[in-house]
Amino acid sequence: MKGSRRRPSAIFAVPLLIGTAMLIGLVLGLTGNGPRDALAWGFAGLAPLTLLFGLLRRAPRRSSN
Amino acid sequence: MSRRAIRIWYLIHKWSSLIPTVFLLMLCVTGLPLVFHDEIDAAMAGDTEATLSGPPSADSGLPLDIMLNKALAGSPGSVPLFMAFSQDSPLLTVTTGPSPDAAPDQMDLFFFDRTTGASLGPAPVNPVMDFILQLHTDMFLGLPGMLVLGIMGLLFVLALVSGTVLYAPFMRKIAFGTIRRNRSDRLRRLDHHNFFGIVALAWMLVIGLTGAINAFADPLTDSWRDGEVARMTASYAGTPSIAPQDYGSLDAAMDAANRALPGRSPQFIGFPGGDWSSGHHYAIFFQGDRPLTQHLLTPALVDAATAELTDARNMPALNQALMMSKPLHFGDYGGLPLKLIWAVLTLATIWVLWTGILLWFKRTPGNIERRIEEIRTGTIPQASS
Repeated sequence: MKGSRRRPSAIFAVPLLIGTAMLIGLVLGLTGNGPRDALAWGFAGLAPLTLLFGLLRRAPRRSSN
Repeated sequence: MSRRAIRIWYLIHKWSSLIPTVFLLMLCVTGLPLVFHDEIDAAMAGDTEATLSGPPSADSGLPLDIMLNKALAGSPGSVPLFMAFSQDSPLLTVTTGPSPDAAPDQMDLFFFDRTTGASLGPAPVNPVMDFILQLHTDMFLGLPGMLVLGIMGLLFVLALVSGTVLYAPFMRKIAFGTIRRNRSDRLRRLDHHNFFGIVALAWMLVIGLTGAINAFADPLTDSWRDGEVARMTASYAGTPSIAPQDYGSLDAAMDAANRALPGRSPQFIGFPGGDWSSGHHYAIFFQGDRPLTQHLLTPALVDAATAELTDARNMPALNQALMMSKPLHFGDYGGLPLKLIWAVLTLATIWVLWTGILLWFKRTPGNIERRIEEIRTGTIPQASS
């Protein structure tokens, strides 16, 4: 399995994307109304959507991990 | 990451999680209905603001002195403590109490329509939501309870940071989002704990940090009043506080404040002798005039007897952080969709806490090397169950 080890940059790439989207969403919602609120929902909504996607995804086959 | 580093971070994560877990579960369970307090209050007691028509009470309406006299006439023997404005409707809220330094549980809130001058009666109370709010805020223990919860919030932040550090070695051989459902219960819980934790991480950090800051609201407000306000009103030092019967015109005071901070919208007035003012001033708090600063308040201190402006200056950075923390913690600033996001992520946090508890309770007792091996390899050395 040594060849499949991932670097920290790869491990944290998606979490960093979700986290950054969350922070952008929270600030957008805080600094305006109307279109900014809609953008805030889109950015901050990425995390709940990811959770939903993760839960609904089919279980992977058994692996040696 | 070396075994030694993993061991240290594991121990930090373990204790910074275990100590606040019960408190955090309580905060999540009570926080969930509080996110929807507007909707619940409106459903149970009616939405007073929605029934009113006219310009926002922060902009215009009947003179403030008339509104205050109406409020005091309906509450004989009381003194005014706060007057709060709405940015959306003519609703005006006046808080009264038996004395200028009355405790919160001695205060009475009354609603008025600033356009018509009509008294709308006492502000509706919701005993269930009040109970939940107080449990969430201070566990009915006052300041000590708030401080305990603040420390639990800081431990939560430490748990999130240490959990993120441990996420790296655990995920070295596993793709993001992997949940191994067909192996053992423990491995599935570990995957759930990591997946839910890392996805909700940024939100949980914001909620944990802002919650901890909010927990120190009372000492921060006291510090502002005893420090900044005392400096702003240094020339009044040593003089007795102004008596309620000697309060001058609120409208004249508001005019003086508006000249100092033109174009800004008032949010509330703190009357002399309370937590939010000096013993001699109307403290008129204005919202920022730009979207980025709309949640930051700037007080104008106006002599309550003469209506002359004493000073107007921004609050200290820590108090400004406190003001920004409130909406960020409550999630009530972006409409119902943002509240739904708050609710889903609160449920996710409960799941992270619950899987963490199960991982702890259903461990092989006393074998820390086994825990470290799980984190280091991203799997369970000898899967059981």
